[in-house]
Amino acid sequence: MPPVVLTFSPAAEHVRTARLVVVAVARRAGVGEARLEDVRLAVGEICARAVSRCASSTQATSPVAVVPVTTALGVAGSAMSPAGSSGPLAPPETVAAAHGSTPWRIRVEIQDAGPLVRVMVTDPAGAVELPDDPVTMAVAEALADTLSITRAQSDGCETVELGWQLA
Amino acid sequence: MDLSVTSREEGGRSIVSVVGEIDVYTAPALRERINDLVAAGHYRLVVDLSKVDFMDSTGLGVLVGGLNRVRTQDGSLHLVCTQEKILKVFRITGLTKVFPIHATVDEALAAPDSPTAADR
Repeated sequence: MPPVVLTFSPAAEHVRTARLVVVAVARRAGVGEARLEDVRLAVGEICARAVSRCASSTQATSPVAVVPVTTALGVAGSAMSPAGSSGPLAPPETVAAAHGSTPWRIRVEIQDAGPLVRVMVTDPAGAVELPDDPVTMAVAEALADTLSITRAQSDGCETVELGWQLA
Repeated sequence: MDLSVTSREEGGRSIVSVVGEIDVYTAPALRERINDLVAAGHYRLVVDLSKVDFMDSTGLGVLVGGLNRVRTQDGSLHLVCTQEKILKVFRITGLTKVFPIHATVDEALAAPDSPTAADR
């Protein structure tokens, strides 16, 4: 299955949309019904975290452009990766694009990578300390089969990757 | 509508009925309702989550905040929930030990204010 990419402006009302899209893709990829609620909750936690990080960031403007699109909500399918390939985890070129004061975007990519369905949530908020972060991460970690975090890099982007085994 | 929050008085308690999804976007509406009830002197709350389809840690934060508020007034906050997907987030965070959780509103109304070991 080609990866699916969703980007949205860091607004709380879009988190539900992100949950719905990711669950739909995960279901199509073969994640069992019993695990889909775990996917829904974990992805909701991480996307809400990304929104909160953007809201709490002290950076006045986005350090990087994250897929500038004209609509408030963009959903794009991509056929760039052949089915079954396990692509690199680094944020794709669309995240670390042009510098400037473009609006912030949160990027969610769902990959069907062999035995795992992987969900990567990237935000450009830089180094942010959220008081509730330990709870959020603990919940996500308990629900996902794998979780890894790439802390804010020089480009300001932080990525949380969640994975679920395909039955 | 993503979330509906209504409240009524019954059996000396305020029953807050929540329908829909409690997340980072909708949780403020629940927080506001609980805060309004406490501000109006209602310190014995039952939050009915039976018709909640989704709840994240933002929702947990609102409930914990409500519990702290009523406790300062010697009040109580009981929950009604039987759905496994909602209970799971309470279990993961250890909050099943903090909130008395009941299967029905009637059961919550019959429970004492302070949870005993039997309620946990």
